[in-house]
Amino acid sequence: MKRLPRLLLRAGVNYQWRHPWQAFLALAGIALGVAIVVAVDLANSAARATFEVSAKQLRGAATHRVVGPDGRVPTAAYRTLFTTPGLPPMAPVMRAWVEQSGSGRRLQLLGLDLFAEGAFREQLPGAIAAGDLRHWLNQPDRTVISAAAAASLGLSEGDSLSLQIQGRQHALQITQVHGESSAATRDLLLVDTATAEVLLGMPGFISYIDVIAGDRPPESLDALEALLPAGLRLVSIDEQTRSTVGLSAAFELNLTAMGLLALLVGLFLIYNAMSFSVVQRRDLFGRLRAIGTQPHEIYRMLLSEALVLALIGSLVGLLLGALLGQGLTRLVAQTVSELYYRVSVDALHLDPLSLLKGLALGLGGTLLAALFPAWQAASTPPATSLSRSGLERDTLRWIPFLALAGAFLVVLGLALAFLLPGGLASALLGLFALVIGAVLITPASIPLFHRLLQRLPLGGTWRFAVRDLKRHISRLGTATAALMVALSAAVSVAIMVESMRGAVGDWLHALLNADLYVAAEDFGNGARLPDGLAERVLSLPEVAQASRYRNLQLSLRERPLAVVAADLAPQSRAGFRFIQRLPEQVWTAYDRGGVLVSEPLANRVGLHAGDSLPLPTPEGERSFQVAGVFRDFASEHGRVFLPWHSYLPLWKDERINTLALFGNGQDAATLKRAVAPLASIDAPLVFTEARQIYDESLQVFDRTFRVTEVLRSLSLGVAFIGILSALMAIQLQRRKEFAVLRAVGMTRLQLARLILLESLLLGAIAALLSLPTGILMAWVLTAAVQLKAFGWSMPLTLSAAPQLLNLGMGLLAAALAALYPAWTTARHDPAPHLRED
Amino acid sequence: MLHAHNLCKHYVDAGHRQVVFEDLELRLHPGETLALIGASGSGKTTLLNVLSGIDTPDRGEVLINGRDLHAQGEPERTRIRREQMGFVFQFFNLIPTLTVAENIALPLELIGAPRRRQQTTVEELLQAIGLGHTAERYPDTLSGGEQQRVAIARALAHRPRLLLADEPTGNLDEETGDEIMGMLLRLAREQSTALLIVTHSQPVAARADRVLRLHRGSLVAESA
Repeated sequence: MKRLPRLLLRAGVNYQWRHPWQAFLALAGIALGVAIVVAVDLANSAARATFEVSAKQLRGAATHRVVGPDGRVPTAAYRTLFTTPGLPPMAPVMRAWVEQSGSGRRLQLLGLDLFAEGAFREQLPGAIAAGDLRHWLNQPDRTVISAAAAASLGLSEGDSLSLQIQGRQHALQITQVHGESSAATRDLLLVDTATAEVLLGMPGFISYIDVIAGDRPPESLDALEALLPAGLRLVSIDEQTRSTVGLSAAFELNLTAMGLLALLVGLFLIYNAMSFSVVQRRDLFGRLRAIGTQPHEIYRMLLSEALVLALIGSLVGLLLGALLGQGLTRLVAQTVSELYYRVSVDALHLDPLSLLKGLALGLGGTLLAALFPAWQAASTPPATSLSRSGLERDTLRWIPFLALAGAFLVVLGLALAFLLPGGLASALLGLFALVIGAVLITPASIPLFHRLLQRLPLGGTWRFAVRDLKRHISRLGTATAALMVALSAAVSVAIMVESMRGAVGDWLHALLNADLYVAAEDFGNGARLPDGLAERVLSLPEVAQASRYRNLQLSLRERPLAVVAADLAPQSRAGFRFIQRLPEQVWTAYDRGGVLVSEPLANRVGLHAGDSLPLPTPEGERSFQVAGVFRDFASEHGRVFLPWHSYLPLWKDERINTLALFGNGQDAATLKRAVAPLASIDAPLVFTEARQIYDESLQVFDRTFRVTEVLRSLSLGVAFIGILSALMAIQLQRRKEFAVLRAVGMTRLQLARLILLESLLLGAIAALLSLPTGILMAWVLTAAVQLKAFGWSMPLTLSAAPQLLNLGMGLLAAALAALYPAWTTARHDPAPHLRED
Repeated sequence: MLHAHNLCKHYVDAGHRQVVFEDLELRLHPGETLALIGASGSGKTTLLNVLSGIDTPDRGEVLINGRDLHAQGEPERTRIRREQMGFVFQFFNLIPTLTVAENIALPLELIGAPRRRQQTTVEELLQAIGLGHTAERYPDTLSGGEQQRVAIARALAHRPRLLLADEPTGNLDEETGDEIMGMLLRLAREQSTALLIVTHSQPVAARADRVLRLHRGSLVAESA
């Protein structure tokens, strides 16, 4: 390809330079779009990378891990394996998250046996390698922490650190503060295994056994596997880390989709700016064509201009993205910690891949958005200056075809989301096809609105404003589409969140039907109720029924699986909502030893009532019949309810975590007063009413969607710039027309009102169109995206509030965007523009 | 140099066929100056556009050095235009985002002339039009007459064989128009460029070698 004449490129770049506000708005579109995508990507990768780095440091040289069915391994099993000759090196590890008393700060307790450690964790900076045995041995309740951890806790060497573990208070003395700080050591408390055993209340158990396979032949691992007692498994740590990080994949993909939606809105801005610059220069292109410039040279000139803008905008976007990413990282890390795996991120991890991705999207997206305007410019006939009305006529001719293509894309999008297999990716692709389809249909709606509004008995400025709707369809079409996309994204997210909140609320309401819940303090970390408490509670005259729950953390196909061994009272049973079978059939099967499987698990694994589900137990793997599938929003990874009478013979552990009490007509306070005396100082109890759990659960839910809310607002911000740019473009183009209107007697106020009215009409049309689009998008989001991502199905909740709010937002954005153009246009002296050709 | 043969052009307006010109014959020799006059709306500019390959005729041929312009594809017509023709428009039509020097250099840049040749030609032409001091200024800082002088320099920069001028003095006062016309004729003669001027000004037409009037779709010779 021949090189682009230097002066053509210069003419193009100079044009942008001489129209700074226009270039600024295009740059803002690119920069904001890129910034949001980069910020989301950085936030996602920060959580992931921090977890991986931390996991890598904590595992050291270990390659495999021996794990137990409920997150613990008998110490006796470790001793047997350790003393068996010919097996690879092994080290016992105790690991749990604990809380600092008072502050509630979460810290990771790592219990190690220094005699077995050997070459295991030499990489753990400063902690073990530099550890002095004197700090560990013969002294219980000692810990070694990093300087960063000490500083953040406000403690130093020799101080005592108060911890709350499983409802009990403990104190550890800080015997050494090591200088190095990393993702792994920032929240790490290193203790001896004996101390950890006492602290975690796990006498006779460890969390897992680390194994170094190294260069050893695979047979040595086979030998180890063959010697494992029933219930214990040998897993690859790499796979375990990957599957843990993979837990949040659907959540990350959802955020990425929101980020891309913001970029899409940004692309409209670029399209608008480029398209306007083409319209403004049609005469120029005509002149260039007349003196012998080839169409492809004009095409390349426009694309080069777009490339320069894209480069500057993308670089600014990367910078903004890094800044925005810092805030977003905290929000994402908080959600990831709450829902998937605990991660502590205090610094932004600038992943070069995320930055490259942002740059590529910025450049590629801008070129894509500039393709059509560049083609329009290249097809300018030589010398003839096509009038604005000529362009509008051209656009009107294209509109029906665009609308048809749009309708096809909408249908294709719905088919991709609902009919075609392909999981989450096809659902998201369907969502984007739907959005682009709606965008293509948007311009066709403007002549319809124009016809409708023309029939209204409106006078004066109103009539002018309505007439202009159709006259400026090429520009208004894209501006309306940009605002429509942003508003429908807002509507759809609002409907999705509302539907989900409603479904979660209903589910919680049905499930939490007991009068009072009793648990040991720190039950979240596995604390159990004192032995015999359930029997003592049931013997109280105030208590009519009680359900007993024991939480187990098992794994299924390398993903964590929450299993609840439950002795369910009839009233608790009434709280379950089943999907496939009638409740009577389910409970009959449950009483015969079948398990209840949550909807996300059933969807992910493909389970139906009557199928068989294999679960790891201390007695080895056992198969359970699926009694029924219940609606559940507790975990996207799935939950299984195991009948108490099936659990007990296999686990042989009667201790429970929670009791749900049903009184004899008394209120929760009376029940609490009756049960409270059964608690002791050693084993404090937590009493919670259903309402409290309900409220707290919904708070977690709201926190989870905070990131989505932030992204939604940002998209709206980008759309606002879109309307501003479109309006300014129109006003600039119509300077002469406005000057004539002023010359023939229109007052400044009337002119300002005209611009404001036009903008409000644009906002109203966009808001009205965003309702059906937003509802369709919400349908895809809830019934396809959420179902495929998290396995949750829920009915769509449509209430007037978000829709009205959206209409208000559309009008407000349009009014705000009109203020500056209205002010400048009305302020300008008309005389110079009257002389313009 | 230029030979239009049997040239026809019409428009269809509201179902009615409007003839712009029919069976038109026109010859222009190297170095010759021809003025094309006619009433407003007589089709002068359309004829100019057809002769330059910007617009297409319904029938007939436009031969440039014996080559039928309209038998070529659009890219080739554009190439012929950029290499063999120069344009001067009524509204100057300079590129507002390029300096005066860059505007003049543009046709040379388009044909891929080396930078040194561009520089020399621009300097020579700026001296010839008496605007040596404006090289780095942008068109919007020049008067109408100055802009048209720059447009003439741009039209001649690549030494075209044919110069087409559409109402070159139409947007200028009489005195400036006269001066511009003198410069246009002088430079065209110096370069032996054939010049076709479309005008409705009798004094402008009077300075050409030959005058043709476009009247009801036919060309009629007028005494110069």
